[in-house]
Amino acid sequence: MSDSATVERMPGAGLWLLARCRAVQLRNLVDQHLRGAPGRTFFVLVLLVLIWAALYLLLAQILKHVHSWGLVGVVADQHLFVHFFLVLAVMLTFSNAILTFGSLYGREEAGFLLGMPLRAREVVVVKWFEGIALSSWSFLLLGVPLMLAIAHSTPVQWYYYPLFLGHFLGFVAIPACLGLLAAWTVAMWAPRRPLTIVIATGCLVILTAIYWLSNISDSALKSEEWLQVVFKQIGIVKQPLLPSTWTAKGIVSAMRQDVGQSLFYLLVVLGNGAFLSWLTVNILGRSWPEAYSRAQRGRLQPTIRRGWFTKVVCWGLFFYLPKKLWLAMLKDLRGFARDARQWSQMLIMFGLLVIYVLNLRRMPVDLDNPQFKGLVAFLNLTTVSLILATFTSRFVYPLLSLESQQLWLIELLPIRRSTLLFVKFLFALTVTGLSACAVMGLAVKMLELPTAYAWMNVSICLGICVGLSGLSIGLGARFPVLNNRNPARIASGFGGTLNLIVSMVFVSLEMAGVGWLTFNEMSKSFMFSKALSPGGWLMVAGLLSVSMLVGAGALWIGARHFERLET
Amino acid sequence: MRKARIQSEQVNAGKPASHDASVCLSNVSKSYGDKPAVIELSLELYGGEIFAFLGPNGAGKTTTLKITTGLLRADAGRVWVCGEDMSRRGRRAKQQIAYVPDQPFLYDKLTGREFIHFARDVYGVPTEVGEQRLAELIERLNMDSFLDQLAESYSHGMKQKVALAAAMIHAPRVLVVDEPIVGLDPRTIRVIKTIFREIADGGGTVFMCTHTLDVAEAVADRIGIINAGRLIALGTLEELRGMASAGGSLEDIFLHLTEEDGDGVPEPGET
Repeated sequence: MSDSATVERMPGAGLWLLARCRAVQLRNLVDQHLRGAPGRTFFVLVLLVLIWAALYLLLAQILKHVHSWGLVGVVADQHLFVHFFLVLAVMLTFSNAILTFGSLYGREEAGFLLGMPLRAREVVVVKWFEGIALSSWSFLLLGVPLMLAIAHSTPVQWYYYPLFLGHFLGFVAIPACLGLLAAWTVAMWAPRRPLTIVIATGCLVILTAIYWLSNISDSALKSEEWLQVVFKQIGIVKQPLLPSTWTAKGIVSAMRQDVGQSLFYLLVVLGNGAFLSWLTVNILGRSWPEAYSRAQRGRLQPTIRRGWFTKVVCWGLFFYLPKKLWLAMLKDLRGFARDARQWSQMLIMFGLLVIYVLNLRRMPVDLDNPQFKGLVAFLNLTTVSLILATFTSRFVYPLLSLESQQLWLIELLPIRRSTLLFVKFLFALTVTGLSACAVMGLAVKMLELPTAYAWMNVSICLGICVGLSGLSIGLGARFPVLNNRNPARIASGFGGTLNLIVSMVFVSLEMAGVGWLTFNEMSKSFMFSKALSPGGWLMVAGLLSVSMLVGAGALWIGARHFERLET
Repeated sequence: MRKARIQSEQVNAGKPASHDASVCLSNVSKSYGDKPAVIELSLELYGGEIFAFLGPNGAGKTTTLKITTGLLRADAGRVWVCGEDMSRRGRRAKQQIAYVPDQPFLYDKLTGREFIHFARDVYGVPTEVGEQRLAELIERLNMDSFLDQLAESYSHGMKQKVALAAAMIHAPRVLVVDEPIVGLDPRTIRVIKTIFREIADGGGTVFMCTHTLDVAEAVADRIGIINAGRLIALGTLEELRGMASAGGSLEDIFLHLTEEDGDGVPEPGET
C-alpha cells in the first residue's frame, strides 16, 4: 500500500527539509510585503533606520557624556558592557523561552511536526536556529549602534569590528539555549498555565533586579565618586563565570587593541556556547515528544475560574454603567485579566516607571533647580505617553478586530454596535488612565511640583489617554482584520501600523506643547509664581481640546464604519 | 430505558491482541491531571476496514486518536501501528500513518501546493509519484482554484482539503481523521467517503472519529463507542444493535448506549 514504508532518510535530511520550508515561508512573506504593500514596507524600513540612527546617537551621547565627566577609564572598564550583556541575556532568555514554548509545545505546528516521521532532534535544531536568528536581531538593533558609537568615541583598529561581531553573535547562542531549556522545564514539570508562569517569573526577576539596582547606592553622591561607589556595590554581576563578563572583557580587549586576549575570550564564549547548544539539542531531542505530551496534559486539564475577582473589580470600576454594558465590560476585563501578555506588559512598563519615580530624589541631578525639575517632569510625561502609545497600538487596537470576527453574535445581542465601540473605548481609557495617571501623580509628588503644574501634568496625561484610546479603538474599527485571530499580527497589519504612526504623531504634538510650556513658562515661574499664566492655561486647554478632538474624531470614523461592517 | 453499559473486557472478548493488526491499542490509559480521559482501552483495527469511533463530547475520542498517532504519550499501555511500537519506533510507525485533525494545521505563508510538497518530501515520496498523486487529488477534491494561494486566505473547508491531500500524498497504510467532513460541501463529502472506501479496499485502514452518525453508518465497517474514557461498544452495526438490544438507526443505538441514568433523549417533535 504505502510506497514510503521503507524510506529511511539520511540523518539531517529532515533538517534540510525543515530549513527549506522555513526559507520558502520567508520568501513568500517578503514577496507578499513587496508586492502587496511596497509603500508600507518602505516606511517600516525607514522607521527601522531612524530607530537605528536614534539609538546610535543616544549611545554616542552617553559615551560622550561619560567622557566629559573625566571617566574615560570607566568606558574602558568592563562595567558598562558587563551590565549591557547581562541585561541583554536576561531579555533574550525570556523572549526565547516564550516563543519556543509556543512553537515546540503549542497545539498547532508542534502537533503537526510531531505527527510526521521527523527526528525530534531535527525539529529541535530548527527551533534552536530560530532562537539564534531571533537573538541576532538584538545585534542588528542594539549591537550595531553600540559598536559604531564605541568606535566613534574611542580610537579602534579595523579588527575591532569583526571581533565585536564575533563576540556578540557568539554570546547570543547562550541565551537562545537557556530560553529553550526554560521552556522545556516548564513543559516537563509545570505544564499548567505555562505562559503565565514564564511571564510572571520574568516580571519578578526583572522587577527584583531593577529594585535591587535602584537601592544600590544609598546616598545622592555626584559624578565620578557616585559612579565608582555604585560600580563597587554592583560588582557582584562581574562574576568571572558569567558569559556576559567574558563578552565584555573580549570587547574591551578589542578596544584596547589586545587581539590575543580578545580572541581568548571569544574562544571561551564560542566554546561554552557550542557545548550548551549540544547539550540543549540532545536533552530536548530526546525528550521533546514526552515534553509535548506533558504540556498538552496541563493545557487540557480544566482550570476552574469562578471569576469573582474580576466581577468585584468590574463593579468597582464601572458601577455606573447600565447592566448590558456592564456585562460587556466584564467580558473584556476578564479577557484582559486572563491574558498574561497584556497585564505583564503593563506591569513591567509601569512597574519600572514606579521604581524610577520613587528613586527620583536620589538621582545625581539637582532637582531643586527649576530647569532640571521642569526637564525631568517633561521627560516623565514623554516616557509615559510613548509607553501608552505602544500599549494601545499593540493591545487596544486588535480588540475590535477580534470582536468583529464574532459579529454574528454581536448582531444577536440587544446592543448597538456603536455602543459596543464606546464600551471598548471606556475599557481602554480606564486601564490606561488609571495606570498612567497614578504614575504621573506619583512623579509630580516626588518632584514636589506646584499644585497648578501637578494638575497640568496629570490632566494632559489623562487627555493623552483619551486621544490614544480613541485612536486605537476608532482606527481598529475602521481597519478591522477579520481573518486573523493573532493580536500581534493584527497589530502589525496596515491599520495597526497606521495607528502606531498616528499615535506617535499625536504624542509628539502634545509633547511639543508641553515642551513649550515647560521651557518657556514653567521653569521660570517656579521661582516667582505658583500658578500658570493665562497663556499657559490657554495652552493646556488647547492640548486637552486636541486630545478630545483626536479621540472623538477617531471614534466617530470608526463607529461609522463599524455600523456598516459586514462579515 | 435500560442502561446498557458494556465493559471493554466483554467487548474485546475472543479477540486477543495481535501485532498483525494495522492499529493495536493495548490497555491504554491517559489522564489529564486528576481527570481520566481514556481508561484501559484495548482496540485492534485491521487492514481493509473503515473504523468509526463515536462518543459524546469529552468522551476521549480525540485523545485516543492522538495517542494512536504518537502526538500524546499514554500513561499506561502500548500502541502499535503496522507492527511498529509507537513509543519505541515512533518514526517508523509514523511513516505508515497519516493524521488529519479536526482543526488542520497549514503554514500561513505557504501555498497549499508548497505545503503538500513539504509533506511529500518529509515522507520521502519520489517527486514524480507525488506529482501524479497530487494531480489526481487536485481534480477529485476540486482544489485547482486555490492551491497556489497562500494558506492564510483559506476557509476551513479549503484547509481540510489541503490537509487531507497532504496526508494522502504518501498513500498511508493507516489514515486517522478527526471529524473528516465538518465544513465540507456535499460533493466533497461524497468524494471523501469514496476515497475512504478506496483506501480500505486497497488494504489500508481508516480510523475516523466523528459526531456525524449518518456518515459513520454509511461508510464504517466497524464502529466503536467510547463514553467517559471507556470503550462501551464495538462491532458492526448489526452487532451493536444486538448489544444494545435496540433496533433502528445508529443514532438510536448510540443514544441508547451512551445515555446516563434517567430518561432518554426524546425524538424531535416528541413531548
